[in-house]
Amino acid sequence: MGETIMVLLVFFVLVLLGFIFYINVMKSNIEVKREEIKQKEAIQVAQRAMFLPELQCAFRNIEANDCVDIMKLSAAADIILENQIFYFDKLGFSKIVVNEIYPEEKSYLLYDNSLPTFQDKTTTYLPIDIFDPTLEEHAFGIMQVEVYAK
Amino acid sequence: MMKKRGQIEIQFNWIFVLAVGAIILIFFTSVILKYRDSSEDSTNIEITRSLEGIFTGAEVSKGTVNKIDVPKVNVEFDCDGFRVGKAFKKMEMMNVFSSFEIKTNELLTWTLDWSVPFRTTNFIYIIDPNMRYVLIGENELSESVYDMIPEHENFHVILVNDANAEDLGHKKVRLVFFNGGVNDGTEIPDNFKKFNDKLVTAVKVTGDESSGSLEFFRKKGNIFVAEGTSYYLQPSSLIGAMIVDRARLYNCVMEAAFKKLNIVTSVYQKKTENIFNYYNSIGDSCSTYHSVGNLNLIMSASRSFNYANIQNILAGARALNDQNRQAERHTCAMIY
Repeated sequence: MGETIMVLLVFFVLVLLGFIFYINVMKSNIEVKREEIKQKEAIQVAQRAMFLPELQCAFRNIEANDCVDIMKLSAAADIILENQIFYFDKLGFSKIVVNEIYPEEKSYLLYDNSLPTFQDKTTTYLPIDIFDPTLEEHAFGIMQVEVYAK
Repeated sequence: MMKKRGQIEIQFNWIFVLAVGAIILIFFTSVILKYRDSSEDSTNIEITRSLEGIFTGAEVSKGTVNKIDVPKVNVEFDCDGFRVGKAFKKMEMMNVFSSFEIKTNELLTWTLDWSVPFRTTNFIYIIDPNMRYVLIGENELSESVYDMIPEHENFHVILVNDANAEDLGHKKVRLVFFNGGVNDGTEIPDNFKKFNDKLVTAVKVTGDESSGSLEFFRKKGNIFVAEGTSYYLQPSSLIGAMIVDRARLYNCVMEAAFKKLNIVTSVYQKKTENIFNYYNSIGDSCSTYHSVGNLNLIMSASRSFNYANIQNILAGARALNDQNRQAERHTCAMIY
């Protein structure tokens, strides 16, 4: 009887050790997965921001890729702010800024739903052409997309 | 006395072994069941995230058809998003036209832009490879819609004059009547009577390429029963009506599209105002081509999804198109 109890005790200790080892392995897998999801989310938000019809340049309704219409950009910032709930599921907790870097240096805040406290922040930089339809001039810019994770 | 003690000890030992064995079995069984459930939930969440990524990719590449291999799970689409098992993805701007429920391991996505007259959003169509789409009534509209449909082995579409098309073994059928051949109480075509009620749906299309009305029907026994009415604006929304099997889902997507149209139009309105102010400030006659009247008409009509507003949007879109051409002809900044 005593022997049986000892055998069972050893068995449960081994099972417990096995569980602890398994949980530690799972934890590191979860961390890797979490990082992957974070990166994918950042890319998705950046993609959605780049292809917003509210921003994209269009010539006879044919969109130009990697191009932002400066006239639309000025208008879109206020309108997106008024409809933030509508844009939340596309842009989530993120901050999108368009920075003109040549020939002039200017900054336009498009969307700001950043978290005051966050665990992680992924920033994506996308080179873009900033087009002014009135002057028919092009400028070089960077779209900065910061995605926050709680 | 000693024998009695030994006998009791043996019996007690057996009881003890049985009890402990049962406890161990129950413990490991519950661990396995819990692991299986959490594994299933984890897989569903993974699939939901993957689908979200696929929809993002499809949305930004209009005019494309993509075939995606997915695990064979039940994907349910509703007004506010889609669900895989317990995992739910909310979509405020629902722009996906799909059957309510799809269970397949090969999803087909197709994307078309919705432009009125400027691009407002891209519609994503989820094609069910188990569904057969039968377009009934060969006329200008049906042929135009049929020509738009991409050829793909998983997209089964035919254009016929007779609703009683041959059954080719598909699990579901979607009948699209362009010849007005269906009303509330109309008999189901003979070849489709044997199908389960949930697997046969129909829609009647009345109108032209730019706009028209829709009536949705479902099968009840051997007759069609009306499910609801709606409208379409532009061919891409008509194709959406062809793809969805529920009037409610179609209306949800169109209401979200109208909301998006309202927002995008307000951006164009402010843009046009800024351009007008600029040309005015330098005394350029281009300001003549940057009035916001047509954009205001589209903006006010896009507040609500109904037939009257659709006609107003079309009128505004045509006038805006002319205005845009005038601006281009006079080498002024284009509105869109």
